[in-house]
Amino acid sequence: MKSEHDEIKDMLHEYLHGTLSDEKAALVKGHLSGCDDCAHEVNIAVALLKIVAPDPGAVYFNNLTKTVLSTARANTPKKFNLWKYIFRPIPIAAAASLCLVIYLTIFNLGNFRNSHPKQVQIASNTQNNITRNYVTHHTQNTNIVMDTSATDDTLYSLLMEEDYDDGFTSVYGGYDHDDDSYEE
Amino acid sequence: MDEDSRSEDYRLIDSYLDTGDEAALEALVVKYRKEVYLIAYRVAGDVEEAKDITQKAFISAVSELRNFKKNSAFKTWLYRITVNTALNHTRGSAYTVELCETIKSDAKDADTWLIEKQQERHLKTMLASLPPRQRISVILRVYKGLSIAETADVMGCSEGAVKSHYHSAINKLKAAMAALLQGKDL
Repeated sequence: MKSEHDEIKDMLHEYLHGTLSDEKAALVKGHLSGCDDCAHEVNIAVALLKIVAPDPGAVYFNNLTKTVLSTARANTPKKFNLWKYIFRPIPIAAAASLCLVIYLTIFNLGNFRNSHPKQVQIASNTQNNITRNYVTHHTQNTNIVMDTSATDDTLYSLLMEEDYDDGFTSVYGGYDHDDDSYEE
Repeated sequence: MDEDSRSEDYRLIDSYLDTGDEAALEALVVKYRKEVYLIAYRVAGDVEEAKDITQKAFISAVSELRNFKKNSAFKTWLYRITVNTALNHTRGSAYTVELCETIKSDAKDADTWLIEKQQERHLKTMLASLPPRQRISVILRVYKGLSIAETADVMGCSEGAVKSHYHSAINKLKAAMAALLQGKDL
C-alpha cells in the first residue's frame, strides 16, 4: 500500500510537465508546500530542465532524415519477380546450350546403335547357317563325329577346305545331287 | 493523447512495412528526431557525439522495425534503442561537459543570471559524474517525463530498480546543490 507521499512523489514529473489533471495538480501543489523532500526534488528537476541542449540546426535534421531514408531504401529487400527470374538472358542461354548438347548426344548414340550391331549380326548369322549346313551334310553322309567343343570359327575354316558348292547345295533330305540313283 | 499518438505511430509503421511507403517512415523520423537527439545529447554530453548517436539509433531502429512487436509504444522502443546506442557509443570515453552551451534564463539581473549559470553548470557536471544507469533514469524521468513503468521498459529493468537508481541520483544531486549553496567545494 503506497503512502500519499510516495504516490505524489511518483506524480512530480507529470506535475512539472503539466500533464496532470487539475484535481491531481492541486493535490501535488498542496503536498509540496508541506514536504521538504518533495520540494527539493522538484527544485532539482527544475534546475535540470533549465539546462538546454544546443540545437544542431535544421540542416542537420534534414540531412538526418535523408540519410535514414536512403539507408532504409538500400536495406529494403527487393520483391521476387518470377517472370524476370525466368527470362533472365544468362540462364536462358545456358539452358539452350545444355539442351543442344543433350540432343546431339542422343542423336549420335541412336545412329551408332542403328548401324553397327545389325551388320555384325547379319554376318554372324550367315556364317552360322553355312556352318550348320556343313555339319548336317557330314553327319548324315560321311558319319564324322562332330567335335562339340569346336567353335563357329573352327567349323567355318573346315568348310572352307572342302568344295564349297558340294557342301552347300547337296543336302536335300539325305540325297546327293551327284548320286546316280537319285537321277534315275 | 498518448493513445492517439501510439496508434498513429502503429499506422505509419504498418504503412511503411506493408507498402514501402517512404512518406510514412519520413513522418516517423521527423516526429522523433529531436527527442532522440536530446536523449543522445543528455547521455553523451557532446553535440557531435549526439549527432552520431542519433543517426545510428535511427538506422538501427529502421533496420529492426520488422522485429517491433507492438507490445509497447514505438516511442519507448525507440528510446531504448537510443539509450543502448548512446551507452555503447560513449563506453570507454569520458563524458564531456560543453561549457559553451547556451543556457536560457528568465533572470534579468546579471548577478542572478551568473549564479544560475554557475548552479546549472555545477549540476550538469554532477549529472555527468553519475553512474550511467542513474544518469539515464534522471534523463528519462526529468527530461522526457516518462513514468516509472515506461522508464523501466526503456532501461530494460524492474520498476523497483528504476526507483532505486532515480532516488540515488536525486539524493546525490541534492547534496551537490546544497553544498554549492553553502559555498562548499566538492
